[in-house]
Amino acid sequence: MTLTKRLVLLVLPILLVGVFVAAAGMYQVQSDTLTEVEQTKLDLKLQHAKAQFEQDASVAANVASLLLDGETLPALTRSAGKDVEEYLVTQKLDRLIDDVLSDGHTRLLVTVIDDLGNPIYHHERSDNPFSETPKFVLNFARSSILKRTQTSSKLMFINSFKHAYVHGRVLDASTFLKPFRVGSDNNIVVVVTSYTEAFDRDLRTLQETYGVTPKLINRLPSFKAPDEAMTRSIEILPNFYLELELTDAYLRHSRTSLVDWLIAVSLIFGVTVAAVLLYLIRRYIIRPIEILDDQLDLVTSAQQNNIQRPVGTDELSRLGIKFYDLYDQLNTNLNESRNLAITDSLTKLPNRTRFQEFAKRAIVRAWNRKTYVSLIYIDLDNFKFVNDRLGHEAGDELLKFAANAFESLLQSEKYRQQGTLVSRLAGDEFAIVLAHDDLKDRENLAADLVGLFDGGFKTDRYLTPVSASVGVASYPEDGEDLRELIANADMAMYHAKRSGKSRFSTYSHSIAGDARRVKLIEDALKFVNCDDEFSLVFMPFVDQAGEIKGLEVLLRWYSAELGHITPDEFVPIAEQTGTYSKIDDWVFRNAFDHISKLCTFLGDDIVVAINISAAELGQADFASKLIRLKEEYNVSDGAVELEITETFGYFAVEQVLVVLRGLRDAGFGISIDDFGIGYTPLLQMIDYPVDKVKFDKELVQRLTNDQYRQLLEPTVELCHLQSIKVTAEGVEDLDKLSVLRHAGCDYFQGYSIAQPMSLVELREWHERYLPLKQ
Amino acid sequence: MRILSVVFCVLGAIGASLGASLASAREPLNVLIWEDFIDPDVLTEWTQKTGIPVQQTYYDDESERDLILAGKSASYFDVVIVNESAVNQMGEAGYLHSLKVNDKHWREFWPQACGSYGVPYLWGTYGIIYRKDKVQAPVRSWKELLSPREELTGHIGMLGQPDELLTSAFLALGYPVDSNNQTHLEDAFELLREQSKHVFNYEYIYSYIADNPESDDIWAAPAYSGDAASLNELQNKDVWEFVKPKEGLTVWVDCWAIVASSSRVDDAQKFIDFMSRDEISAKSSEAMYAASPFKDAVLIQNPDFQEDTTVYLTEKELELANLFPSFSGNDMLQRLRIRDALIRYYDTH
Repeated sequence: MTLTKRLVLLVLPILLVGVFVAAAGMYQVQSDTLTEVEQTKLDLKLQHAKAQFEQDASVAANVASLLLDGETLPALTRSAGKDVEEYLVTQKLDRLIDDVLSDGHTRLLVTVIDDLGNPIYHHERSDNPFSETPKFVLNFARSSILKRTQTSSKLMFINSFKHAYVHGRVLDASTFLKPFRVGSDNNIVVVVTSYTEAFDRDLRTLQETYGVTPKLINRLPSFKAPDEAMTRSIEILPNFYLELELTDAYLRHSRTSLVDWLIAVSLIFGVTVAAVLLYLIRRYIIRPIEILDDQLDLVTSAQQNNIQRPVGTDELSRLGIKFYDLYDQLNTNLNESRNLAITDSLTKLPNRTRFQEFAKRAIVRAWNRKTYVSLIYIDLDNFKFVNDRLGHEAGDELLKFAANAFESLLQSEKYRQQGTLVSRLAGDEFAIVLAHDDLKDRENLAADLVGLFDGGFKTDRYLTPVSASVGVASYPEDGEDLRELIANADMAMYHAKRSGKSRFSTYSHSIAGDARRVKLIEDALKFVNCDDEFSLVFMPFVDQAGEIKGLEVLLRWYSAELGHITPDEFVPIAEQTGTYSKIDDWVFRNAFDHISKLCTFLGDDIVVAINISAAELGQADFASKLIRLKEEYNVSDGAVELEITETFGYFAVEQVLVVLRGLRDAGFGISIDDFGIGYTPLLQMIDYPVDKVKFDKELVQRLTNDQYRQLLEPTVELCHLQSIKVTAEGVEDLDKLSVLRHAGCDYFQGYSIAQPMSLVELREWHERYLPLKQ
Repeated sequence: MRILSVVFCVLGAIGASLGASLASAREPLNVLIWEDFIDPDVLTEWTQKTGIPVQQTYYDDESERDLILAGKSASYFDVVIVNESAVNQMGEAGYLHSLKVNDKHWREFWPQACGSYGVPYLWGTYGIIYRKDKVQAPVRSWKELLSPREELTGHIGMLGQPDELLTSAFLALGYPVDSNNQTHLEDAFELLREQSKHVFNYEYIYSYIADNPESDDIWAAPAYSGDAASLNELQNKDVWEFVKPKEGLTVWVDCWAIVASSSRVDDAQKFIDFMSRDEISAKSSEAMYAASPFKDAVLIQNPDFQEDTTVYLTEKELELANLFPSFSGNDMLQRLRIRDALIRYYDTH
């Protein structure tokens, strides 16, 4: 129920009951005094009627007096019957009477009657010029003489509502004074008759008002007036009373009028008060609530950020203000947490959630517009090095700078017009969503991104040797939905990484195929039975004299489903998937197991070189495990040489150096494999605890060229100065062998000497080699 | 009741500058007369000749005049103008001086009109005047005036004299003007009362316009021949037209009479004789635009004036014309009361 309805239901009944009770009370009081009031009212009306009567009566008496004064009356009687004189005197008398009564319009008769009862003058002052003396006037005159009263007055009833006041004076016809004896001869009577028209009108009004005929009663003083409260009476002439009864019917009627009046007034009053009250309450109480409600509706339907902040100090305004503040705070918090939810706290870039939202929308738009959306995955190469070598602070700084660099690039003139979003997905992974019309744009951007890291990446405090591997997948070419696109971009990025880092790859079917193969290898590695599928091959290396000094142990994998898989292919996968330790374990055990067999035909001094992944050196228990195996297989000191691929950076880490020293002390020889293509400067390298470096095939190729040949000898000399032996790999022909031998290299390995071979082949090869050497 | 108020406006129409010493020595002759009813040039001539100045007192109601003549103040006056219908009654009642027989009677238009108490001064026709510029059509009969067409409502001025009112009503009703029949009187009163709602006032039109020269309220009224010319002169425009009503011609004759109580009967007689001279009468007649009662006087008047049919009647008209009748005192009273009742009715409705 709305407040207005409730208000109407609450206020109206109470108000109406209140007004009704008030009206009822008023009626009680009023009806008690009503009778009294009506009596007073009637008395006043009777009084008025009496005053009217007295006015008419006094006119008559005054005119009579006037006639007695002066010469007119004697002239009249003298001229009676004398034609013209009578006319003139009469005319004069008419004028006189008219003058006296000039203001009023009283209908007045003036009659002079002789003692025989004949009128000698009659004048009616009215608009009737043909008036004759009424009989009652003549009778009155006669009776006046007979009664011997000099002055007499009478109220004459002409008909029900027509009365006249007759005033007569008997005079001596000669002296025109009071007669010596009334009733004797020679009398005249002056009669003035006044028609009490105003009085009669009052009587008629009284009857119309009260419904009863007013009574004129001649009551002698001896008769007591009837003591009826309801009959009001007034004496208008001596012993003449005007009476009127206040009937029940009339009182009832006026009571009804009172009730009608009260009902009308109550109704009007009630309705007015109710209307005013409702209006005021609506206007000043309900309306503000409704406004607040409307405002809240706008806010909840998101058409408005917040309600309008009310001004004012009343309760509603305060409520509104409190709500405003509360909502404002909630809104701020909500926005903050939403921002947190979609923002990466470190770089302030949008996070994965935001990235996915944006990408989804971009795909929908591209679908509508028939355009492209590319997802560009960026992975920073060598980030782990920065973290490990320079600390996490440097890593964080790098990430922030990289984020800035990406943003700046996207804000640059070249890309500003396009819909882009860069986000940080995790760790050193970033992703860019690019909406574009031309498919070539993605390559440009990817190239620019890679280019940001040319020559290392510079932050405020560091120049870091990081680069970026970038993978690109585009809608609709490379995927129909976001999930697919993400997977493919990721795949492309890994491809770039595997292809040598610091480059970009766009997704293609061959990448997909590669990825599928990686996946197969991954799966195969998980379930591989090492003894069935793995085998070891051996590649001999010789000294200057051509003596077989050792064998590099190489792992071969033949899978029933996948066929031959090279270590280059599966080792990185194994390293990533964590299956490498299993393989390592198998390799070491088999290699150690082979040592005694090898010694039987190659001599006891033969060295077995086993490749280990630099990554393994970071594992805490790697060294101890290896030492335990050495003891278990009773391998003598110096019989095993660990070849560490000089992959980027690991030697620089103190922890790795500790492990290397530990292994060396435990009787393992340490050599650096593939020396010359890594990043570590030569001079720094020779400070490390190694016994041997193996010059990479490419280094060998380069140093044996005429251009660099003079560097070969000093380089070898440098190693020798540090007591480091030098092995030359990739010795493919005898010329090179000769050059390298002259330069002072200690050992030689390559196809010109021997290929990797199984134990059986090795035996056969050895059989053939011995005489050849001889 | 304006019209009943006697105008005691005393005008010192005292004789001219000539004989000033003589004039100042003589008491003026007091004349009771209608307003503007005497040519000032004639008066000047009289005073020059006799050295007697004339003082006029005006009345505008005949019954009022009769009361003056019958009252105590009558002795103040020497000469009075009395209408022919009243002159004999007033004379017989002893209010007028009996005059010597006039030797010009045989040369008069209305030889018997003034009887033995008066000498005729001027006569004329009682008819209707109307405003040419206001009404759509001329008002040609008493009937048209008493039962007026719509356009006249509120623009009728009635002449509030008892004789004139009843004469008009009787003629409109087709009754004899001298009737005393009760029914006739009642019918006439009823007709007049009915008419009163169209009436603007009951003043003599000439008196009313003299008092209110700018008034344009009254478009038709009973009047005496000559009034049209006087009114046009008064208002300085030619708008009033006199009509002899269709129902019949009523002729008025005003007579010179000597007040019975006058102490200067000789001077009064001398004045009346002077006024009755042919050349004086001719002059007065032209000045007042009313007919001279003396046929010899007419002969010396301007021929145009002689032939003016609004002034003089043709032989045929003269034969058909009637004088205002005379009545007994009672009948006069009845007529007076009819008039008074009418005015009272008019005032209260």
